[in-house]
Amino acid sequence: MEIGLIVLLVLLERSRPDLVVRRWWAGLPVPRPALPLRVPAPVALAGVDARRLAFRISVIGVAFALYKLFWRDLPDDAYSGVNLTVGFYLAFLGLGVLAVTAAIAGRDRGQELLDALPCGPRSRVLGWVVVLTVLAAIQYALLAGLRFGHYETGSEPSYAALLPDAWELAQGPLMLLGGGLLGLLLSRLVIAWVAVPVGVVLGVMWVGSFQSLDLTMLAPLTEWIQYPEDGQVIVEPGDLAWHNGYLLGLCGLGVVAALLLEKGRRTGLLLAGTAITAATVVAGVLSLP
Amino acid sequence: MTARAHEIRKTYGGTTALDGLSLDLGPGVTGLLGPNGAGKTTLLRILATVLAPDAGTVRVLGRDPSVASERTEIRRRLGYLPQEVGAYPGFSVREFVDYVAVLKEHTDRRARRHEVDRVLELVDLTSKAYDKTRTLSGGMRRRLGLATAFLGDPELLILDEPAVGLDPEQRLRFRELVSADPGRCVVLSTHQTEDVAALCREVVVVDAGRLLFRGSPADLAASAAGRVWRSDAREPGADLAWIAGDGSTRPIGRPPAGAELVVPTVEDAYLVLVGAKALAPVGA
Repeated sequence: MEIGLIVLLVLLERSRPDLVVRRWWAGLPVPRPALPLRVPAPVALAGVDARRLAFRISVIGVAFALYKLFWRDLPDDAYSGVNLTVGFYLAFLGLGVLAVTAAIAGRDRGQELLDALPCGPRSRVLGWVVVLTVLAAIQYALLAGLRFGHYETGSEPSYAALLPDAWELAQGPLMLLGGGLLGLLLSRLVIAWVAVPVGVVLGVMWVGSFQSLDLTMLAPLTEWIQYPEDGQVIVEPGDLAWHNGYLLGLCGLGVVAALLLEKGRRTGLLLAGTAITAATVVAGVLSLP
Repeated sequence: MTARAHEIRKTYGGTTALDGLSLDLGPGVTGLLGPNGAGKTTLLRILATVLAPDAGTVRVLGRDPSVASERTEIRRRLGYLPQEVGAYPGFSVREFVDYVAVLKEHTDRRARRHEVDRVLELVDLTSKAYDKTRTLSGGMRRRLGLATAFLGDPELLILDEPAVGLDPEQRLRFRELVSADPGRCVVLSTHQTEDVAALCREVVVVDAGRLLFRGSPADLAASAAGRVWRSDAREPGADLAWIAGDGSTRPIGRPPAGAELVVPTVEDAYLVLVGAKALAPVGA
């Protein structure tokens, strides 16, 4: 037992010479942190960012909801005037705005101050992901509840219909991730956070204008909400419009990962990522049916 | 030693910022003096773990900043004020300090609120806590940066030109603040030699990336003994000369005829050290 403890302490000492246990073992005074550390920093960051951006995100959400409710023809079987896709659009836009605002704030401002802090860019990105994960979870729960309620009060109650397949489940996080990363990418090119929601709304409307069935890059997901046949969507997952958005997100992911990892070479990588992303979008739009 | 740099070199393209500089820093306030481009900011950035040297070794708070885990540990115990604080314009003063506090891992909301209140009080910004940072004057922004540097009562404070823009009252407050804990290591770069004379236990003069002098402010002043004069007329052969408030000329360098030898100040000694590079002769 004691030998095991000594081995453990030796291993700890070799790996983390600053550990409290090592100081205690050596008879040194154990320093108390200046402030108690109760919550992981990314979670605390998420709280700060969410509070700071809550107003903007809610304004965008309300605006987009109004647009969806009053300026678009709803499918015949949409639920009593409530278009359930709004939540996902909101999440997509919210993440974009969140990311672009935070990134614009960091761009050319105070970067050196932030560089000398223990929580680096990865913690900040993780904080945004936490915010959006919570947001997405709330929306999933809300939408599932609405859908369940509809069936309970309608003629075809079906618990099975509530269960999306793996592909459907994957689309939400991918969409959110893509939105956030797209926001980070755009933050390098635009000067105001408003550009993100405006750009996304215009883009969705433009791409949607090519389609007779309101095919947007979010189509498979919205189909799941609107046409709740278990595990089925009218639009195939491989639909070009959806695929473009997906690729866009992946490009953004690559660029942002590179930006985070390759400090000091951001301009070249940014230009390369932007070019690839733009080429993907153009190629995707041109190949639409 | 709180921080130690050994033979560090740093170049930007073809420009050498630090050229084999070695330095040990212990408790107390150390002032870095040097002309523009001398390498002061580069040295401070390396000590603050923001920048890595091209060559040489650095130890800060007993840790190696080139190792990621140790670098993070250094940053937990470090307060850094860069030349440009760059506070986000859309944030209020309190929001910005709070944000930096979170990034310093002060994650408990209640404790963080107290800590933010404490540092705002330290720099006399409590009354501006809810003003947007974009409305602050230059001096207030400097104090905002100081507030973030003092978060968590760090063991090592690295301040790059901290007194720029501060009015006389705030400068006195700043001196009191920085010197309050004699056990803390504070490194500050400045062009204000009176701050160095009033505040620093040790002064380091850097020029062209090299160490020119290291010692107490009194030692620095004494190093110019016999080389600073007061005369009625400007001496063409002086290294530097300027007209003082009483109308007399204060030449530095070779003694002009009939000049009166004076006791040099830290500023005199600094000018003797750095010489004509620091200040081109005026009216020569």
